[in-house]
Amino acid sequence: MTEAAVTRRDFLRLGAVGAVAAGAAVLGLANLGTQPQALPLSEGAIMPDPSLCIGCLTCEVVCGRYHREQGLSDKPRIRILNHSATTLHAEIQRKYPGRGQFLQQPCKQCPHPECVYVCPVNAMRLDGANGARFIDEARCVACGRCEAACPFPIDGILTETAEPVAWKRIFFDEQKGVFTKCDMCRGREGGPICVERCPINIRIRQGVLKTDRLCLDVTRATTKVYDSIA
Amino acid sequence: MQSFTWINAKSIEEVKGALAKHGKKARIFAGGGDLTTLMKERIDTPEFVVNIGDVKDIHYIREEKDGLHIGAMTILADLAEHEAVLGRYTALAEAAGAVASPQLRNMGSIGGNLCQRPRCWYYRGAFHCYKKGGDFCFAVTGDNRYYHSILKGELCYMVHPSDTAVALLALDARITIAGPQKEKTVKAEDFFIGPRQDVLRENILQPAELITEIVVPTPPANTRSTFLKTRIRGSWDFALASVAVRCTAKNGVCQAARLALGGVAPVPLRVERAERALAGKKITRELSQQAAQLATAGARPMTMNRYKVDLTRSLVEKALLAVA
Ligand SMILES: Cc1cc2nc3c(=O)[nH]c(=O)nc-3n(C[C@H](O)[C@H](O)[C@H](O)COP(=O)(O)OP(=O)(O)OC[C@H]3O[C@@H](n4cnc5c(N)ncnc54)[C@H](O)[C@@H]3O)c2cc1C
Ligand code: SF4
Ligand code: SF4
Ligand code: SF4
Repeated sequence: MTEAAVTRRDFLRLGAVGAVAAGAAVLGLANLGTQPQALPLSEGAIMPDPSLCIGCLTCEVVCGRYHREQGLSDKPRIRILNHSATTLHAEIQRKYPGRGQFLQQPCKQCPHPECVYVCPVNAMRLDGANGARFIDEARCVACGRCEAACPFPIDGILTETAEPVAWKRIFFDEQKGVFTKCDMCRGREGGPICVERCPINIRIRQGVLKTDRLCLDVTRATTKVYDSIA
Repeated sequence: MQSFTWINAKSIEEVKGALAKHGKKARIFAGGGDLTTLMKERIDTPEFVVNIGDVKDIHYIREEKDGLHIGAMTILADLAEHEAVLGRYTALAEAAGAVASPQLRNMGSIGGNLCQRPRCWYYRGAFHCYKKGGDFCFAVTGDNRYYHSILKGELCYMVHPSDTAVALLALDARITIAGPQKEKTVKAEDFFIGPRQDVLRENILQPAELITEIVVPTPPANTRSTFLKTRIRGSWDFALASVAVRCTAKNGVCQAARLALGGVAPVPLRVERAERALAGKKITRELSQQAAQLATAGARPMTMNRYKVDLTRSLVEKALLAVA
């Protein structure tokens, strides 16, 4: 698996020698010294459609399990909240009534990822193949800066426990003593496992559910996408 | 049925030896009430079957200073009829007596009852679901009317089928596990695990481990307990919902309560939120209704089992009023 370590430190170093690109993953280096911003987009971000979500938590469990199998933290990187404001798709209302309304909260793989800029030990990295922003758990010193910097809360009633949470899209694993986040299942054949296993997606692909969207989809992480993920 | 080697163990040491030797290829055979069906249907295909029915020192019910000691091979009928169990550990006697039919209670052991596999009909049928190592749950978008969760379901939505487990949680029981490592004892509620921890099993037992004993601590003075269960009308079957409650009360005021639910979640489920609401209060109809609401708070019923929410609430209310 290739990876390009693109971090704030690299920016500064590269800026100092006036480099234009370093490795496969670094694009322009404008605005150096203020907000570093010209990182390559992630090829993929998880694009959810809450109107199709039945709150089954399959995505959470398979995410945790897949990463555990990779020797990584088994904290799910996508979380589901109860969300009464979600309007359900007519097909979901008809076929799977009465399960409640939900909101999927994945990482947005920000075009300008605050989490990446603040890591002091180069543990926040970009996957060289797909640009996913991920944490190298072996390097993470659990300082928590990435979590603090992530501007996107996971704030509400967690479906798993029915208890309130106030998190970010980066999670602390107390057992392993590291932070972790969505890495788009980098290196996994078949792409992100949540997208593959969401039972609603499976039923849509089988034609049992008729919609023109998926419950969880993979899309290029453009600014537009970033704005449209809750 | 696939052919297998039958090992008739005479002592715990022999059971441990056989399990250690054959690991994942071996299963314990207690009463055989569940294992036989799993093997006939080829849902489970062990190569070695270790009979523990003839292991002498695991058939007993003894009341000692610290509580009730039950050997893993004790049959359910004996528990249901035992005087001390009926008197001081009532919920357990009632739960054992609510299992299946008289024949099955005469055959089934408490250890086997705790370790029996789920009753989801997709699991019992020819469906390669998550529980069998597959990658889909057929119940989540399929027929989930009876033996599926309303609480804590995720990935797999089966419900834990054991009645005695629910009573043991309410009675604060401990489970003793033997295996290659030193013998260990865990709280009943820590024994069971949900699909998030491991969808392929329902408890913490490793392939070479077995339950040897269950210990139910002596309840404090002025403590009563009960177990209630609803099943499909007129059948001997598994719980659609069940509840066990243990309550210590003085002058009608509940000092401490333990409440557990069955038939509604992938694990027998202790509901501490409801327990806390009861402590220090007089158990009235109103309070029991409140506790029932709390017990089912956060329910995520599936497409066909919303009725279980109300069913569970009414069982909780009834059980609380019965021990008040
Ligand atoms: C028609 C029918 C209806 C039933 N209804 C109910 C019901 O309403 N409520 C209920 O609670 N149960 C019910 N049961 C389950 C049944 O009554 C027994 O409790 C169950 O079959 C297990 O007991 P057993 O001793 O026969 O175990 P076995 O079938 O011998 O074993 C069951 C499983 O537990 C494992 N095991 C057994 N003993 C140990 C041990 N000491 N340590 C570790 N693992 C062990 C075995 O390897 C096996 O996987 C029903 C069963 C049937 C067939
Ligand atoms: S963790 Fe937060 S800041 Fe980092 S890429 Fe994801 S959403 Fe953006
Ligand atoms: S797997 Fe799909 S339907 Fe289930 S909770 Fe996740 S996004 Fe929602
Ligand atoms: S509920 Fe569990 S046992 Fe039943 S089909 Fe789904 S994964 Fe299989």
